[in-house]
Amino acid sequence: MSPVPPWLAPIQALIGEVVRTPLDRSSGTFRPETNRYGCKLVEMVSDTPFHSAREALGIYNRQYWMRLFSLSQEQYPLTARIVGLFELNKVTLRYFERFPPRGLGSRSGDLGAAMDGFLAFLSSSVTVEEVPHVPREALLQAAQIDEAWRSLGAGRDHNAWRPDAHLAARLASAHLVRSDGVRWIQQNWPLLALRRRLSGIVGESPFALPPRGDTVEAFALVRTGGAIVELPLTRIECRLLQLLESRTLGHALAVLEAEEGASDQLAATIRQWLGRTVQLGFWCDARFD
Amino acid sequence: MSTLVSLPSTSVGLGLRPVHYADACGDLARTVDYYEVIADNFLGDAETPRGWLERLRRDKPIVLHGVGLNLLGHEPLDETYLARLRDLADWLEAPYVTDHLCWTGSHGLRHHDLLPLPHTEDLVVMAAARARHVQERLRRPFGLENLSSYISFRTSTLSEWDFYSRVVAESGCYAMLDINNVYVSCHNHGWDAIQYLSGVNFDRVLQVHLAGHEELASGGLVDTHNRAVSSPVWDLYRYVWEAHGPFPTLLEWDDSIPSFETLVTELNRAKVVRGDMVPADMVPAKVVRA
Repeated sequence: MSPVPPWLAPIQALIGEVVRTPLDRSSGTFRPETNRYGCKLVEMVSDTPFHSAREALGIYNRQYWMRLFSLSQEQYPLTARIVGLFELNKVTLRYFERFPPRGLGSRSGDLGAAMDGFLAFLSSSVTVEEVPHVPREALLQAAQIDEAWRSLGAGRDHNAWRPDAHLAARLASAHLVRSDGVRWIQQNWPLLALRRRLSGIVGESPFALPPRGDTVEAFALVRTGGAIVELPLTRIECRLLQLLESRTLGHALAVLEAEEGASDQLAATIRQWLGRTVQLGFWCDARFD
Repeated sequence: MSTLVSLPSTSVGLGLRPVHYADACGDLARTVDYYEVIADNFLGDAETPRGWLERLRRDKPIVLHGVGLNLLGHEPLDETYLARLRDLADWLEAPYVTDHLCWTGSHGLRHHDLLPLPHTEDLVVMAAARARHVQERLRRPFGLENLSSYISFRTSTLSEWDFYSRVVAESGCYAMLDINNVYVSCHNHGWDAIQYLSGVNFDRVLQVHLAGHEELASGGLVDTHNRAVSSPVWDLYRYVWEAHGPFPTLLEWDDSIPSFETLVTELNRAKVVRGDMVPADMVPAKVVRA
């Protein structure tokens, strides 16, 4: 293939810097700070009948950030509604300043992949002072629910794992591998219901959280066909799923029995629940040490 | 390449977005001849959306439009991306694939925008060689789309339309001519749209795009795809159709997306502008079954 012009990489570096320049938010809206653009590029660009070179470059700068703001609002809709769009945009701006979208890997053209680290960023970087009107626990639970939805949409379809008869004797030493079509979440506020209620309702202001519930609720989110089904979990069902994330089946059961006290009723509950998870396609594989 | 079914030249199509997958299989879609989908949305690991494509392609041809090729990036083309794109196009039996004559990322970073460059002779050579390579890898016609531009460079030695036409001609590829982009660029820079279009070889036009744009407070235009096609763009479409048609015509609407019925009505406007439909028939009738 023919050579790349020597001026190409340098000018793309200059344009890229301008495009990624953080927007100013001091006025309560997001505006390009065109005086921050490097003179070298500005001098290469002509004024237009409507804009100076800096203003014209500012169109690309603004578009870049607006696209990323829309992305975080689309992928974290519940979080956006309880935090408020302006506040979420501020967090989004900080996130992409630190982790600008990259183009490597199999999802190179997929803008959604740029949000892969957003939940971790929210968990580690957002302070109470930044979002004072939302309890931190509620913020993180909302973000985890949004992230669950997001990953269910992007995950691969698997064939569900079904244990063969000859595996039965070895199951205790198996690590069950969760399917990409299943996630589980916990909530102290009725966030799943709020997410459903707010779906399709446009609004920029923060939506007031409903009162905190007396107990923690757990749900499995299961992708079936094109839809996501919410499956309420009992405390023991949820605990077993948590234990199975990092333990073999035998180890998880031993821990659960130690926590709950071994009984025939517990054994029956566990057997029934495990059978149901297999039936619902929670697992895509079993791995052995 | 020659074994692929090409679209009839008077076809009208819709840029299909996920919100309308179900409607696209229904009665309202009777006057839609084909669909275009954003290829990048189907190159990842998620398989669920492909179910819709599988269903849709039984009834109508689907063409692919990309936004992530980064044809003019200084880094080499992503051969993995091209391989996935070809697999998708083969699976869909897509008559053709299109992407933009622009760059979208550099130095390992993606800007997810269609960015311009100075129009120079050495860039024509590079762009043509890369586009030719893409067409060979895809094993089907590859169309290059002209940009909406908001800046121009003092170091350009070619006009935007000369650059576009030269790359199409020297690559042996095709033009994916966006009429709205022609209008937006010409308005923003004070160029003559007719002069822009006079450089286009319409024998190489695979398809024409129509879309809406937004006017800024300054009077400049931004290609937003968030509203109906403007009157001046319809006027330009009528001129191009009468002077250079026929060619397949596709409507894009990517933000503030209206109902499927509204989209089909807007698409039917193209037929009215061409004189192929009377205005009274623009709104698609729902079939009432006994």
